Amino acid sequence: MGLGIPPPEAPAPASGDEVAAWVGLSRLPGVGPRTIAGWVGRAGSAWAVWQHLPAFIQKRADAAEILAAWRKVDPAAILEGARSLGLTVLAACDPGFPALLRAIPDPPPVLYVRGSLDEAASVAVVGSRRATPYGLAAAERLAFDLAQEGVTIVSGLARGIDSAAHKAALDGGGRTVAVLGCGADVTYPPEHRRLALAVAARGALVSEFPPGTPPLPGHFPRRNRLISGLALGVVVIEGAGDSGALVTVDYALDQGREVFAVPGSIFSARSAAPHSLLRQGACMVENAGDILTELGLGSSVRSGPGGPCGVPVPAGGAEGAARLLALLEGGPLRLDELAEQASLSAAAVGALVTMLEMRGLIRTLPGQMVMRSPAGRGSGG
Amino acid sequence: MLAAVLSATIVGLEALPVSVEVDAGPGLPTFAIVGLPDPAVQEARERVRSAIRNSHYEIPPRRTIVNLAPGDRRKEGPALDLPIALAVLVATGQLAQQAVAGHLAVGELGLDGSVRSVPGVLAVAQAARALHARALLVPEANAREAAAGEEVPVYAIPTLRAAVQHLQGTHPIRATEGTVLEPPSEDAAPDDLAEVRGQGAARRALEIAGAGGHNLLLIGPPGVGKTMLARRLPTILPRLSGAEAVEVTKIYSVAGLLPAWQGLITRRPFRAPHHAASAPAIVGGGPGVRPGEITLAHHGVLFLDELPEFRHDVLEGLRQPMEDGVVVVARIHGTVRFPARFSLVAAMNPCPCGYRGDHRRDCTCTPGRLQQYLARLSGPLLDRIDLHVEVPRPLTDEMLSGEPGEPSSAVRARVTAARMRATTRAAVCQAEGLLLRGPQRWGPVSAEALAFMRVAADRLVLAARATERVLRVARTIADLEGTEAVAVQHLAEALRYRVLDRWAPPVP
Repeated sequence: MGLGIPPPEAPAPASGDEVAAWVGLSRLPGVGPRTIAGWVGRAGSAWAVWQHLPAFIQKRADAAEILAAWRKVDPAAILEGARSLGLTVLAACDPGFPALLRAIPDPPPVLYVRGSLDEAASVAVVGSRRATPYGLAAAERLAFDLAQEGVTIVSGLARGIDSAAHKAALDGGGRTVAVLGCGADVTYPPEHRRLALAVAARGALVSEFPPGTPPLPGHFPRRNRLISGLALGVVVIEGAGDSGALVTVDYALDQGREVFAVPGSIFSARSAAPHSLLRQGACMVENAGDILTELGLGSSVRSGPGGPCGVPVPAGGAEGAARLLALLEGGPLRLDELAEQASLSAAAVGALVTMLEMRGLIRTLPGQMVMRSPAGRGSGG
Repeated sequence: MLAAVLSATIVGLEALPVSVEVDAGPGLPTFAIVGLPDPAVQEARERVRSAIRNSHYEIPPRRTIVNLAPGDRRKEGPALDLPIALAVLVATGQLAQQAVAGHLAVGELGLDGSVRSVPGVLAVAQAARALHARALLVPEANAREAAAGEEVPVYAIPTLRAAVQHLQGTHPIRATEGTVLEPPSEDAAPDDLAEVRGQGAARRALEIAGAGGHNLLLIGPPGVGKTMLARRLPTILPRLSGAEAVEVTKIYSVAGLLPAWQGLITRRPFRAPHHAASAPAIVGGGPGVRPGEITLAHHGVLFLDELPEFRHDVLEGLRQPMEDGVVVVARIHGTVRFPARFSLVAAMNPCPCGYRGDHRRDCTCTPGRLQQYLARLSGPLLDRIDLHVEVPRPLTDEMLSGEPGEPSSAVRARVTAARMRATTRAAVCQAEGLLLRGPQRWGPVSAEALAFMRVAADRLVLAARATERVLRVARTIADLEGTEAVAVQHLAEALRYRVLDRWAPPVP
């Protein structure tokens, strides 16, 4: 394969602009990350590949298509556009490119980042978009506790488990990274606009798609490989038998990542994914300590269920409040059951529950279920 | 010869006096009715002629004109049959004008001369009293109703012939006894709160709704007993007073819904219109200007099951009556006012599939569908509902082995006492000329409670309107407890009954 003189009409990125070359290569149709990595390995630099692209593709059946794209794509313009939107563009050659991600078999040629990435230990938390209250609580408790231990939480900003994990990580005072299936400047789902801003401020929104890319269905499986790729391990909380979480797990196994699963209710169809993983030998998770220990991160996180206590109880009902909290240690209860077991009137329980809820000690769920606050964060009020 | 007999026609809920004048004079034999009769009155011609003949009186071949005065108001229904027949008999010399003087008569005639029941007799009795009528002749089936108000002596008329013989004094009929309010015996109560097992929170909400006259929204999966609970609200409200019972009876009578032989209605009504009902059916109106469901629920409970399924215009139509306690229906011939002071109980599923929060089944609704469903609720109507409470599916052993709940009578005693306290406080405020603003409007609130409310509004992101609702409900809770000032625990409990505020869709 000789290196020919580039044809005069070839788009020329600013001489020596490696990043622009990577951007250009990432926009070629039918050319995957592995191919690009192979070419760059042989040519020594992305710039060289971009300059002499026809030589690399001459034997391919889709050479004409790729050449057409090569002539049309203006890497400098994409780069300029992304930077004007406040995005950081990280090429695979960039020293700031996450090391974990660079090590996977098919690292993305380019990452568009809003916010900042660092090399802190990361754990991915993924699961059903239509999670049950139990699943959401589990995601919140784990993400909150991990965040407090300084672990970055990686997820996909989707509805359900994903957004619960992001939120809890932020509440826990930690960092969190959202990997998107659209451009880093696009918010999907739209109701997570505020959450996305918060994530960008205390972590990063990451995408391998250039700015303005819409959230197409085909993008999501691909982005899942980045979720696992950015983390040391993947925690699966709830998912049906065909859940996207299982796609992430497949990538995680390819990438040599640890796989964790949180057991669910045997009555819920959304326990199918975590339970099948557990059956296959995934590490079972009851609390953040399980994850930290397995990843060798060391843990000061308590083991066993339950959250911290020792928070001021409402005036005038201290005794009743303590009784309610003690009853709820055993798991969520219905308001009526709570009243009966605590031997309190519906009126008294109603009042106490509101007061404890305002202190962040408990929370109420649809169906009049009352449970201890998953993160157990209790202050103020 | 000229004759006149007093009668009345129903306009809205009131009876409008009608003077039935008959002139039987020389000329070609005809029988005509003038004075804005509707088709049913027009047909009286045929019924009256047959009834007179079959009662063994005569219709001489004269030119007979029936005039219904006043001539500018439309007369409806067959209630004028009996007075027309009596007036015809007077005009043709078969009955003395003296005999009918001062009598007010209503009733539909059968072809055989029998007298059939008509709607609105209680209203007619009130009109008779206002006119200082000497006596009231009504169909037998309506006699108890007419006598219930103890307005004027009431005579139950079985047939036209009996009416004539009574008026002539040959076979006088005994006046119907006035039926004083008979308290319904306790064991005869059809629904009792004791039948509801478990559901402590919902029962409590029902009690608060009763005590404060708050409107209530029950949210729960299908088949958990939302309707059962709503049906029992009338049984814990204070008993109807005599005046209220007369009002309710009058409404049902005018609507033609009062069973024959019924005296006063003594139970608070419960109305549960279907969600496909039209606006006139709910609010009132339509041809004939009938009272709608909200008027039939006057002094009682209006239950709207499947609230989000009701048509938007129907729910919007409820707003003004809920505010004023009166609905005004405008017609070509003037406006009609119907009373409509009711307690609203609405029910809905927690989500389109109905299983959100159900411990037995997973909910299959997407967040989008759930938001769409909640958005279908009319905001302005929701603003008038103080209490929203979840009614979860009872645990099986709770249903099977649970103790029977507290009976309605015990709850009613507390509700009645709470209402008394509220009434007394309002009277005191009025007497002292206090025009309070802010949270103290509904009575004293402790300083601690005010501070708590500020934190709560902030934490739970309550809108200003919701805050006001919470304060009112807390006031009622304090009244139920017999406490003068609203305290923290009252507010805290009141906050439990704002489920929809917590479900409010996140602002994007």
